[in-house]
Amino acid sequence: MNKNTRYVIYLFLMLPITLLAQEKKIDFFGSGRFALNNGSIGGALIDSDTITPRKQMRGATLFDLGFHIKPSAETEIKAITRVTNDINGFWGGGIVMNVRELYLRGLLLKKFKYQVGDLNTRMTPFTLYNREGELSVHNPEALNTFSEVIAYDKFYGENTWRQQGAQLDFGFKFNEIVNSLNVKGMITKNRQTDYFSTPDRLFSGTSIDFTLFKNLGLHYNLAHVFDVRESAMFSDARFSNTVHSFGLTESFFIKQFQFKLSGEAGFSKVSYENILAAPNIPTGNFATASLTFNPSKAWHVKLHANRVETHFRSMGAQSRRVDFNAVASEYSYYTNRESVRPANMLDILTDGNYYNLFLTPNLQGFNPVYENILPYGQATPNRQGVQAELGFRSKVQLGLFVSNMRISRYNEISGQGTLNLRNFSEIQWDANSNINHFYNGKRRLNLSVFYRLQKTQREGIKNIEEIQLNTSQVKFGLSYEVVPKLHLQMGLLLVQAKGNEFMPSRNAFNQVVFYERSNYDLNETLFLGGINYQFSKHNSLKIQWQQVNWDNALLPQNQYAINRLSVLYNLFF
Amino acid sequence: MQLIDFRCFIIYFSRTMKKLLLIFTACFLFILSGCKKDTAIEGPELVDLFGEFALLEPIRASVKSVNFANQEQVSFSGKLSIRTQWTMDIIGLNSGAIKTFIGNEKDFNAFPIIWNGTITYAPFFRKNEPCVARLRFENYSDTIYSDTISITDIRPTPSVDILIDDFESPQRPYNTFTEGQQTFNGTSVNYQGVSPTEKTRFYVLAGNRGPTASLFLCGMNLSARVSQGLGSNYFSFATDNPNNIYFNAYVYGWGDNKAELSIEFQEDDNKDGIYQPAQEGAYNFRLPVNWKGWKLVSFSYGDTRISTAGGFGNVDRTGKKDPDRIIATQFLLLSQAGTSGITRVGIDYANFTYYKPFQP
Repeated sequence: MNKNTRYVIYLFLMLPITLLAQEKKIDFFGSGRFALNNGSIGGALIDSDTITPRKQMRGATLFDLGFHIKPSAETEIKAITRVTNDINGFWGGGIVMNVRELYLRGLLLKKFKYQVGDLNTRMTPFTLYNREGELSVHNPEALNTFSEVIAYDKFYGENTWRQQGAQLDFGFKFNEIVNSLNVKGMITKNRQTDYFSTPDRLFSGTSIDFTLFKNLGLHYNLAHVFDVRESAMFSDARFSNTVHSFGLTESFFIKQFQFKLSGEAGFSKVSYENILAAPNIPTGNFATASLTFNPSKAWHVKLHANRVETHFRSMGAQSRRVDFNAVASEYSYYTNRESVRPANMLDILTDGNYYNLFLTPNLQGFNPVYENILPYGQATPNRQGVQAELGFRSKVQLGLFVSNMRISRYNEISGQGTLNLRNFSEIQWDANSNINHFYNGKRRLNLSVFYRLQKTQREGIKNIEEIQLNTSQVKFGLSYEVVPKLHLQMGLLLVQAKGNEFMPSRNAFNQVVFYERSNYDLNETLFLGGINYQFSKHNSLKIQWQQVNWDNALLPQNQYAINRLSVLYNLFF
Repeated sequence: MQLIDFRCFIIYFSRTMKKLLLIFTACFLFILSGCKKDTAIEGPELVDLFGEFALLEPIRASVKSVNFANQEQVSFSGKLSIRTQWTMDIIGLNSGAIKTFIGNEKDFNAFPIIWNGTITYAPFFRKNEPCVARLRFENYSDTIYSDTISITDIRPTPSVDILIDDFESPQRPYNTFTEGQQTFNGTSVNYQGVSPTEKTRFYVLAGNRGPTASLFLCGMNLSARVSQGLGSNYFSFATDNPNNIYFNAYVYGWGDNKAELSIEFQEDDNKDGIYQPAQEGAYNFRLPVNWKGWKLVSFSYGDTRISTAGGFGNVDRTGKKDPDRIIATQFLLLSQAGTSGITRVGIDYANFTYYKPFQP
């Protein structure tokens, strides 16, 4: 098909859309972005490296155009197309066009909400939940736009996973005892068959929520992943993972104090059929409870307890956002052996390549330097423990001030490779304030601070079983409004790790088969400094200098640093 | 009346619910505070992996002599102090034939190594030949030998299902091709003093890569029609399941760690009798040839991957592997990335078997 014919077809396709727009049944929206990174790499490791180029410049422009079409009052269609052009794609050579999002939703019989196509799916933290990745919370404002871009590109909504399928949602209202009942069902396609040896894999989810006595909620959630029989002609192999979850939520007052109670408990089953050497995986149970107490509007106290057995498996809840096996988009390989460069802080915070879009059946690897207690969120298997949190959030005369402190204590339920258990402890504190209100300054001056210390300990035979690992994270952020809309922004992030760990290697059935011994005396720093011009709430330009330095004192020959000038213009309309 | 009783109960229940919930929470926290320790250990024991290495029991064969023609087997026992990656080679002391086992178990009594007379590296074991088992370790320099075992008779060579070529007929119409600057060697007898594994000839692909040249050195293409000597353009497999069709061949490596062999199967997707590389799929299996001597290589058609070379089989019209449309087998010699200079690879007795790999 030549270009002219294609344009004529596009014109005819656009004609009804134009007509609909005239009747105001169609809205347009979208986003635009320009990103450019110009950086250099150096350090002791690079001095002995004769292959890796010292400088790299990468970037892209992209434009998303979305349509909201309402053919009738009860039907809505949303479609977003994306055009991406790499900086190196001159004369249209690097242009990629694709459909980024497409769904149809509406109301059936004025009672049943349905949606087909792309779905943003979420259930509970033990059934289907896309929890935040490493280093993602309490970051300096200098990193805001970068994290927004990743969340937008990867469809990370409010802890949702993007899937494709169909969803049906309906509810009933009853009397003053049983107030309401809501039912939601979904089925999505998780994997495409190759017609021969890999069967189709589907995810089905059901949520049933009762509200009783106005404040009491009873919940049942079922998440079921299964391979479709006879969808691959030469394979009888089938995998399934089922999680049943029962929960309650209750809000009540004792005198004038408000309490919120929530709990969830359930179990998982994993089965492998007709797969050579597949093990029988025992049922894995979990239980969690939280009690939140608000002594005043500003203060809150939260107590949380969690127990997840070793064999608990939930594909929807244990899939990770950050994939440490991914390859960086810049300086992907280094050294003369052309080894894959492991992720550093700058990669995790700004590089979308490290972020996963799909539910994965295996417990993906993680880096204990950044998170060792709950690498799979609340659903992390082989953990039990408690957390206590004290929080303050107030909009007083001095301006908004937010601060939280959290103390956690966890341990394993089964020892990994030994009868001795890992014990984990954590203390975390953050504060954020517009401190210009303290001195009646007119220009916004925002300060944010975060500190976290994690300790992992296990007793046992020295160098064989014993673990002593201390990791700390410090984040410091400053943002000052020099003139209206123009902010000077600075951020400093420090990660330290000292000690040793035995990282488990798992086979295709998630069984631990080996351990990688790792020793750390790591200092990793990330400095960010630059300007942010905020054209409007959803339209900003960032020009920023970034420097990350990775230095493990046990491997001084591996020290390296990346310096980078980053330009990021982002617009949502 | 019953309805009123029920409502009373519900109201009573609602009043006591809050207390019940608080009690539930307290109980839950109490249970958790117990920090139950599960006695089961997850994963292999650390002392088995990282403890002190020692040989607790020597390596012993179950018999002193074995007749493989009578389907007898030899099992090896022994015990190590830890689990570690090991390689056991059973070496024919006259022939130089090698059977290799790789594992990491520490107790060979619980996980015995059983040998039925097959080989991993050609040539074949011989009748009345003494053999010895040699145990080596990836992380330790120790080498352990067993007592010798005598082979009173060898295992009969099993038949193959389809013979692609035994390379005994130099006049066969091999379609050969090469990059301009490289030398090319065809069928050879006792090439550079190397004996074939089977009969008198084998095939050699050789080339010389300049520092800036492409990785491709040379190749040879053999049609299914020639291989089978039948009227059909395609291999006549007894099954269409790619996972149940095994390609097997002996591959000779000169130990220079420079050669990579790509074995490719070209599918005539539209079945017009002509393979069109820009429009029809080719599936290949690539293996770095990092050994010296003859090695038996086997893989299933299901293990192959579609070609990644643009315009050379990277587009499959049917979108899937179609064994019944394989029109030709192609052998490509490539240089391993980062190497240059002369390299070569030998191929002998290429064949297909069904359901399991060829085990001579």
